[in-house]
Amino acid sequence: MNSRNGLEAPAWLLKTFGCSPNNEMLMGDLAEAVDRGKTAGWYWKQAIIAVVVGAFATLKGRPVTLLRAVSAGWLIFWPLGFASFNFVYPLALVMLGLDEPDLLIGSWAPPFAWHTAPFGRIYTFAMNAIASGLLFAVGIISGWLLAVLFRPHSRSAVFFFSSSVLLSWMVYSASLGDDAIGARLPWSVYFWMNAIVQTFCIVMGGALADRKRSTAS
Amino acid sequence: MFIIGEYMSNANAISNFELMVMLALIKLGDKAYGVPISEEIAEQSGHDVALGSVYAALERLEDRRLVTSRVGEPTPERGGRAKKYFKVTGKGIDVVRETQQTLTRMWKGLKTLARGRA
Repeated sequence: MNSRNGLEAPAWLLKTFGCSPNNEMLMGDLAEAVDRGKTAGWYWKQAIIAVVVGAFATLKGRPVTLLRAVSAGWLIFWPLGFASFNFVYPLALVMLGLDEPDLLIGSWAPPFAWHTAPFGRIYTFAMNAIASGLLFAVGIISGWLLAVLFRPHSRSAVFFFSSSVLLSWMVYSASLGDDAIGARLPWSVYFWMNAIVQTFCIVMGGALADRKRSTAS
Repeated sequence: MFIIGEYMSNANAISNFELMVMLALIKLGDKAYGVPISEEIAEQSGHDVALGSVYAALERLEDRRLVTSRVGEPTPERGGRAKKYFKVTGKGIDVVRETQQTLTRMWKGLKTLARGRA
């Protein structure tokens, strides 16, 4: 069995998010160390430390650039999110007939399903799936634009911006009262799923921009 | 004069970890790249060392021209990736010597530590 089997995930993590100018050499060193007997756990630890240390080294060297990057990220993310939920979301509901449940029922649901509990759940699921889809799309577009704007420091820019978005979700969660819908099961699971996946979408948007660039060059 | 002296010593100041990296480079000579550097520090300090931290220190030292580097040939056992060899510059050697002298002077004043009673 190849000793590098099972290391695709940390290798991808390091390749995608590693900010160090010596990232390629570092990956080569890790591969060599694994061949000499280091474990997968050791590789994971090294990859995570390298990503965090690389991002903070860039922050230390270029604090103003990264402050501008996080500010620019929010200037993209916030209006995009506002427009999505004030214009795109209502429009999507109208187009899919979800703005008026009776209209929806009349359009494509069989009569026996009208006003039943399962149908109510499907209706709620559809609305929330659209909302989540928009959240994730806003994340990908923001990450992509930020990476394009902040080359060659796109990885650290996206790293710190996505961290600030996740932090804002945490602050928002802490601000919810115990009786708020988002603080109770099952909605708390939906809330954190959205928070984590949207953060991941931001970094994926940044990675897509980087990949497109490296393919082009 | 005092200000200039203080400025110069700050400009030459290196962290404990950077000093360990530079000493490892001097010891390893032409074979100094990521893996042996981290192994040397781990062996001497008794702690596992993160390669990411080693490279971050090397990048800082290279920015200050205390270290130079050259890229070797890619090898299959490294997934087709090249090694990067590092070497301490003349300026780097001066900084290591200066640090050693400063630490030695300070150490001499600590008699309790020298007797192992601190």
